[in-house]
Amino acid sequence: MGDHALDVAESEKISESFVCCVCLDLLYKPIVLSCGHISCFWCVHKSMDGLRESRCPICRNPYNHFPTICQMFHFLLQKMYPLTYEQRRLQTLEEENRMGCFSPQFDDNTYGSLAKQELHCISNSACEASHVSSEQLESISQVQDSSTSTPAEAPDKNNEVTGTVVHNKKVSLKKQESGNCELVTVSDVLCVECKQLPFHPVALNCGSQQELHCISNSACEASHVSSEQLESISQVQDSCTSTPAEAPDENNEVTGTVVHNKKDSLKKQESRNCELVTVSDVLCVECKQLPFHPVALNCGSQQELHCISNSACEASHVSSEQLESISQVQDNCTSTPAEAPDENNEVTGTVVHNKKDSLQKQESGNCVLVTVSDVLCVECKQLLFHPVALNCGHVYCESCLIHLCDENIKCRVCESLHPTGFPKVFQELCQFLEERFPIEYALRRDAVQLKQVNSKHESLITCSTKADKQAHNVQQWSDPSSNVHFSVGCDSCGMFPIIGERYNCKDCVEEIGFDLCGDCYNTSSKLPGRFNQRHTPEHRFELLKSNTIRNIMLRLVTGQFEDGSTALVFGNYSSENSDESTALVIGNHSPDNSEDGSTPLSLYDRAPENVDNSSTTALASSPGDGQDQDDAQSPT
Amino acid sequence: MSGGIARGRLAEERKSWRKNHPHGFVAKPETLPDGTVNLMVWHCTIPGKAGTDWEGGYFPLTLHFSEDYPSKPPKCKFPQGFFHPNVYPSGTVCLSILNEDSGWRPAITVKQILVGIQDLLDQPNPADPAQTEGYHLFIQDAVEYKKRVRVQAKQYPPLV
Repeated sequence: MGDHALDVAESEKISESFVCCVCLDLLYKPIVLSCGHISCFWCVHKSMDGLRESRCPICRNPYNHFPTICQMFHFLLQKMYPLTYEQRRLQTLEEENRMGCFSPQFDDNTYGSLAKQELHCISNSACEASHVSSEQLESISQVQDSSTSTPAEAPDKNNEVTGTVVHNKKVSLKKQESGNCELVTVSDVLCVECKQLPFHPVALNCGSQQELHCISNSACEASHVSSEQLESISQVQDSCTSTPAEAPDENNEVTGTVVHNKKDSLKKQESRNCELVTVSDVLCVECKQLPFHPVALNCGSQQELHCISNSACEASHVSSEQLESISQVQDNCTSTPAEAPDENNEVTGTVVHNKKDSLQKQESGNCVLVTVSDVLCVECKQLLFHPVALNCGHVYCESCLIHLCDENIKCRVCESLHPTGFPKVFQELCQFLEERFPIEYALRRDAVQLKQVNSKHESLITCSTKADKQAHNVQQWSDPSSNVHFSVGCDSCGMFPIIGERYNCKDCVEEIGFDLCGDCYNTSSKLPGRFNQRHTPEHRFELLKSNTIRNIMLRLVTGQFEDGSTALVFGNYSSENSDESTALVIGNHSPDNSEDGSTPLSLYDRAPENVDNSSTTALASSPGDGQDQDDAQSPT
Repeated sequence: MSGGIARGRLAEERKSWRKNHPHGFVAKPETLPDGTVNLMVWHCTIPGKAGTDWEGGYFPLTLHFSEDYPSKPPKCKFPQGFFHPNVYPSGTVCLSILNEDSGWRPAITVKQILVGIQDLLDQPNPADPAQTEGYHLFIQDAVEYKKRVRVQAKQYPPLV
């Protein structure tokens, strides 16, 4: 985390409500507790208590299930503060490498407004995403070269050649670092028009703003192109310029200007190998994803490139070289204005970009980039109104969740039970939504209120379930016979520590292990580990017993007994709530001893003076010892 | 899993303190003899509240943070022998928000701790005494107690 990184982060002004109260930094991989308070994944985990129930770092509300990261909020923050968020990612990764224990990794590239719900299964199981491999890129570039020379034949050829192979993608950080364009998925390079893989991508200029558009016809397929291809394409463009009349046809099938993000990959270009270019080299500065509708702006003398996105928020940088080559195409279009309309019908379906206040966006924390589609309720698919997050990290409108739950609250998306009663409204998000979408939010409020008037019974559920559940939890904790597995958590429901049966995976190699509680073992959960363990359903489990002696010892140490007797022995330090007299007695007798960790044996806190008077060898010993001595010898 | 949060959090605390902090208070991480900064120990000054017997005193307080911070509270120490019913003879402050088992929350900032201790100075909690002298005088001899407090305030004049 050098100074540079700090400078970068400083440029984004982070709203107070998105600062984690534990690390006082931007929330990273946020977790929403059932009390509605948020904190980072690691901040929550580290402040949890492995021996007993944990308390919310903000309001001390007790809970014992480690919630899952709220992905919706994660991507929201990523979109709003891309630079800081990336910096936080790197920081956290460094720390995780040191610990040898990782937080869940999300596949950023699969993110889209609609992809939210699928993300879960993508990162998790058998979802396969397709990639364009480097070999394919090469073969495609050949096709493009050839099509440059014989444009008429190109379509047939491409049909045979460019059928893109589907690669199996695994979400892995190492891959991301080691530079591999296998990470590129089709969803990253979709045509804006047909939403399919672009075939012969074309960039157009719509007017003076130098906006680039990617065009393709309906049946298209295509690819990224390396720097070599850029050259070849510029030849095509030259030819277009020389034969303007043919341009429309050609554009339809052949001409493609490929937009590269060259910001950081200039060095890599020398090696003429697009394998070296990684996704991280071509990230959009706004959304930190692979650029989709690339737009470059020039703001003044600094030649700063600004990245703008449309409602689906995907964008990119364009290098100055590209701007030049593209401007040739632009010239071409300008020279044949008469034909442009026809062209547009088939080819140029221009995509509308949202460009207004792009400059402000860059400066002021990007919340303008957030659209309603980023903050939808998983149930009603509308703008979240009074958002509440379940333990599984899915976010609902409060009113939608009330509809759903009868006795137990079960997530509609992932089917997991919510363990801790009806969650409270997630205030930070609520406020943000109200500020960001005042009109939409007001509409939703009216709609929800109308619905509530129509059906009266629903709001009654909240209080009762909460009270029941909490009472139940307290009983479990104070029951000395319950089987508590200290410092071990369930990787499915998040119960920490596990109470009752504990099943430990014998095949997971990660140091942190993979454990399930009895309930989750029996329901054979499909969720991945909480710490990115490579657990698969084929792994075998064994039932582990908690160590009873250790159990008892720990209970003693932590003062888990119900009667106050232990509190007496273990000092006043822990017992603000215990009855006044005990605290008083202890406080008077040995205030300093208990805090220094020795047992409270002495009776006088004047001891040090007496020790000075008595000419014993205890002078050199520690205060605690001195007091013991004094206790025996004191003239009083 | 030893927490790596402590230092990061303290750096942020430092930043936010520099940006804005209550008037009269001082809070700085310790500077070691070799010139490096030790974020784990902070030297602070708490001004006595105006209008109370503590007014005019600038009381030095040291915060000792552990690697478990902010999961665990820092240990707050006045000089040894500090006169106050809720300060142990060693100088350690006894305050609910600084007690891991009762009032501490990781969300509590250095600013809140210092302001909390400032409030405690003039509003001791007789239910939770930590030294006999201060406690007995507070309970039994209010006049003598006030006198002692004013004398102590004079012992800690402003440093400037």
